[in-house]
Amino acid sequence: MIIYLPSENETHGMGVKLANFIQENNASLEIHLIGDLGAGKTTLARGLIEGMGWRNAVKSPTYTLCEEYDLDHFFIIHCDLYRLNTLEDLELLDLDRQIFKTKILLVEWPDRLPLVRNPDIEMRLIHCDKGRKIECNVLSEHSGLKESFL
Amino acid sequence: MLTLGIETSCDETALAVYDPNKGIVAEAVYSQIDLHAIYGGVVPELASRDHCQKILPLFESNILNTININDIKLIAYTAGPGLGGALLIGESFAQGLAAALNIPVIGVNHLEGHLQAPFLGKNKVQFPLLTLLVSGGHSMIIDVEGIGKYNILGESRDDAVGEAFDKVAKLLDLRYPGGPEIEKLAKNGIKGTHKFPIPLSDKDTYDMSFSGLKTSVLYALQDMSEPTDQDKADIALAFQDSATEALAIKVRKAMIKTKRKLLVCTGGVAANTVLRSKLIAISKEAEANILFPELKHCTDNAAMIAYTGYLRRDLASQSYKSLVRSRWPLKMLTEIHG
Repeated sequence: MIIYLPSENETHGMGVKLANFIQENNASLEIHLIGDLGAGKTTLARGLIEGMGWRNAVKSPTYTLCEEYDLDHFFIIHCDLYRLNTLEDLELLDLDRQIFKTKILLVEWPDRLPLVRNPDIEMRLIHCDKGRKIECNVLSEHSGLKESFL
Repeated sequence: MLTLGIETSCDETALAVYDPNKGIVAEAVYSQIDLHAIYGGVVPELASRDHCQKILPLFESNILNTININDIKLIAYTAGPGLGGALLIGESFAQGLAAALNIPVIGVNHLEGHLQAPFLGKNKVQFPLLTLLVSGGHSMIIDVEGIGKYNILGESRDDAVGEAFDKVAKLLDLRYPGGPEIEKLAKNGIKGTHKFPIPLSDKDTYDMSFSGLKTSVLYALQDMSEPTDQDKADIALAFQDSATEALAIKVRKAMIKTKRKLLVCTGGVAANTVLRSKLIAISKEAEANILFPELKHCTDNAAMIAYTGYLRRDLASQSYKSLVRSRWPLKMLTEIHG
């Protein structure tokens, strides 16, 4: 499924839509965000995190590697693998830790490492004129996830 | 009475020892990143950054060659904010060593460490002051009234300014770290060729935003089929102007509002000379002093952790329970009087 996002607002809005789906279905999702510098990965993540009800700043995880958002019923882990070199480095982020809330995992630059993970959604953001094209691959069986984008 | 400080919140494994009479008496950082990498932009050798493997050899060869282990009476470690796993290694080392020496430990807030770092230098520093913290991970303007009395006036809503420098450097095919590279290239740039917007500059907030600036650079590059070296230099100059101006606008506003008589600029981006001259001008306008702490104490270091732990020694304990928290806002800290 390919969706055209003419501006930053629509990229952000895409994240909000996903947040709505997550909240309505209490769905624990792993989302991979792929795309070049400035393609809108963090903007989409910000839309999702704000859509989930976070009211403070959503900062880029590029340098901190990982930012966490502890909400009432959800726990969001937003990480950026850009600076990681080996799979061993990934252990530091402890992505698979057990959390007693519905866990949402947002992974930027998953293609930096030969990851063996099973994301529910893979989103590929591509520059397209001054906007973005997003190639969305829904890999899980969450019913209604595909429809929620349209 | 010596305080050992331990910093493991992200990439660096750092140790330092603070003596209240002499200041920092021992200091060691394990990092392949040399001082030029202070922008935080280097892709670190993360495989070997396993704090676990580095911390004990670092302690034995770089700290115990200077001090006697039995003179350590307090251990301070970074308990947050940072990466949970990395922080736990510092905490475990701190608590293990403290148990063996039968001394108390204290968990220190990493950001508070940065705010106390100016007091490590030779210059006499007094509260209150206004701090601009600018690095790869942070862009914050903080009014510092005293120990534990921190008021964050503004911060970046997205990318940190150092991160913007690094990402723009990448777009311009420059090497890491991006800060010095952009500064060098910008010297050849022609003023006024490009003009990039400064987000939030006219808004009634001290918050900043650097993500859109990066995108503007990207668009400017896309508009050229084959950017020449001159094109790139022009873009570097315009970007550097906008990024430093974005900081300067908010710092000026904060100096006017708070009327502080001391401005401190810390973090790796403090090395940028254009930013420095803008801040010096602001301090003159405000009839205030300006201080740029030593670069080694601007970036992540353990000296600031040892010193801050010493300031907060009344809260130290021998109970050794885990205090690690990846998110730990400054406003949760208690005040210390005196």
